[in-house]
Amino acid sequence: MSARTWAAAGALALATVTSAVFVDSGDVAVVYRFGAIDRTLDPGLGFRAPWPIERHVIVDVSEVRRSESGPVRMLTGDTNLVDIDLAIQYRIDDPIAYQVGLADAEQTLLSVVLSTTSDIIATVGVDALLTTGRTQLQADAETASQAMLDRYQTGIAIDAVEVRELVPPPPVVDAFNDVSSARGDRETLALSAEAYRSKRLPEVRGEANEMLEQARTHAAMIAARSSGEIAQFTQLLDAKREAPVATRVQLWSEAAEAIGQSADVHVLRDETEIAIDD
Amino acid sequence: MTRSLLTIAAILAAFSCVYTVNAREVAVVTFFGKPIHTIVEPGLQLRAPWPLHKVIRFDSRTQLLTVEPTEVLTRDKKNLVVETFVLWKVSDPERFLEAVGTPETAETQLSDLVVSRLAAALGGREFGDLMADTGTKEPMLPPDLLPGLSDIGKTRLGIDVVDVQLRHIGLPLQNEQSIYERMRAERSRIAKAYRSEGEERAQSIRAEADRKAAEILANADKEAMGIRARADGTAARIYANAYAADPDFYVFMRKLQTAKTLLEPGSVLVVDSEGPLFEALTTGVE
Repeated sequence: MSARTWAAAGALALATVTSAVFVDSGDVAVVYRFGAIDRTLDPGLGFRAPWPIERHVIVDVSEVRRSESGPVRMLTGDTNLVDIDLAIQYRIDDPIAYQVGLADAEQTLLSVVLSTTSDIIATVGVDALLTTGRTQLQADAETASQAMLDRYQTGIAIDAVEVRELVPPPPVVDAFNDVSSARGDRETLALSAEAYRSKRLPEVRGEANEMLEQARTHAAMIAARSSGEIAQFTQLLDAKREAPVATRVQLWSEAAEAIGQSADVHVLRDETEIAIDD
Repeated sequence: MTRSLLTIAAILAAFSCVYTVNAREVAVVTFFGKPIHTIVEPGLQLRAPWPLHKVIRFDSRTQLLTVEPTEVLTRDKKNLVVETFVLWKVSDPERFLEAVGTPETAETQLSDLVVSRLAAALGGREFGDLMADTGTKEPMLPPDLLPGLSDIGKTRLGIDVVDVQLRHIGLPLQNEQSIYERMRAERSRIAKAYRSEGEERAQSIRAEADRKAAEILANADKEAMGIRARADGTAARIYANAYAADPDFYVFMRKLQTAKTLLEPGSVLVVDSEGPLFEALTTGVE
């Protein structure tokens, strides 16, 4: 083979090697032909014409990138101040637009998200914002920011706007904490009153039952005594009807004896005491 | 040999007559410093070799200009520190080259424009209208700001102003202090309200419990009295019936009963020996 053939073969091999493009999965190659974007190459082995006709740029379209705002002080709709710290997760979803879109993608993205966030915060009161507003803020900021990025044709897709921190500024943090402890106090006070109620009422019901029980006992005793006495009286009355005087005397004597047995009896005659016991 | 040199020279000459403008650029071609041709479409272009033609390129991508924080005064004399950003790109490289020359100069001019227009616009607005906790508020930036900038950019600077937005709105440091005072006062009011609300609830729960307790006791008392009264009444009726059967005997029995009940063990009873109890002893058995 002649030298010329060798040279031609070498040039061909070189052209082939410099024309081959290996695109990793998750990447896209953007091919420029004479400076103009001609096409993209998907993952795998692709080819392009050798320099200076074509060149390519690899763009990672699967990596989730992250950008952080750092703490920023913002004004709420009711003119309170809050400190917010944002993190943005985003991807490149249109490599061609991304190539020609923004000179400084990360800073522009951050500016856009800060802009939409402060705009949203300026429409919300501090209480709503700090208690329930966080999730809504994240969703709204993401939607509004994405709409702006689309308008600028940036080729960037936001995965999430994450509110990492949303707190009152340090000089007023204790005042805000006191509000939450006051909210706790409110519950505690009510709970202790409820505890008092649930102790007091059963106690009183017990007392009431005792009163009724005592009344019933009294009633039962009265009933028993009166019917007992009357039964006795009726029998004695029968006896008295048969033998009036004898019965009276008998009863009188029984009573006197009973009294004499238990009581300390003293007999008086002419003002002089005669002891019959002892 | 001569032929080889000629070939190389020809190739070099060919290269110096060809250039590309890529998709991220726009270019202007000058002839001894005078712009003669602008290229805004990427691709392969022909030119006369240097120093006849010169190609000046500019980045055609969207540029971010962050305007320095500016203190502005609203109509109701509230100080605000606003920070804006402008997105712009070179759209007419020839005008851009003649009017400003470099991106830095363009950005300085844009900054000055934004600051002066913003100050003028916000000076005519009330602070309260710019903020709202109800969800509707005036847009912070005046609606004619972007069209105005666009117009100047296009006609005077050779640029396309894509957008202008507020990046941040804040207060001067000394004003922050008064906001903090107010926030603290507001928080303390809310905290107080929570606590007195708690006390009020507690008090009404206690009062209700006490009222219920009193009610329960009063009802029980009433019922107990009723029970006793019924029992006493029944007993009284029974005794009355017995009395009616033989009043004289009943009184006699009752007296004996009462005497027995009164004279408990240990009581002292003094009896007259002349009395009826000892009559039988003293008078003998006549």
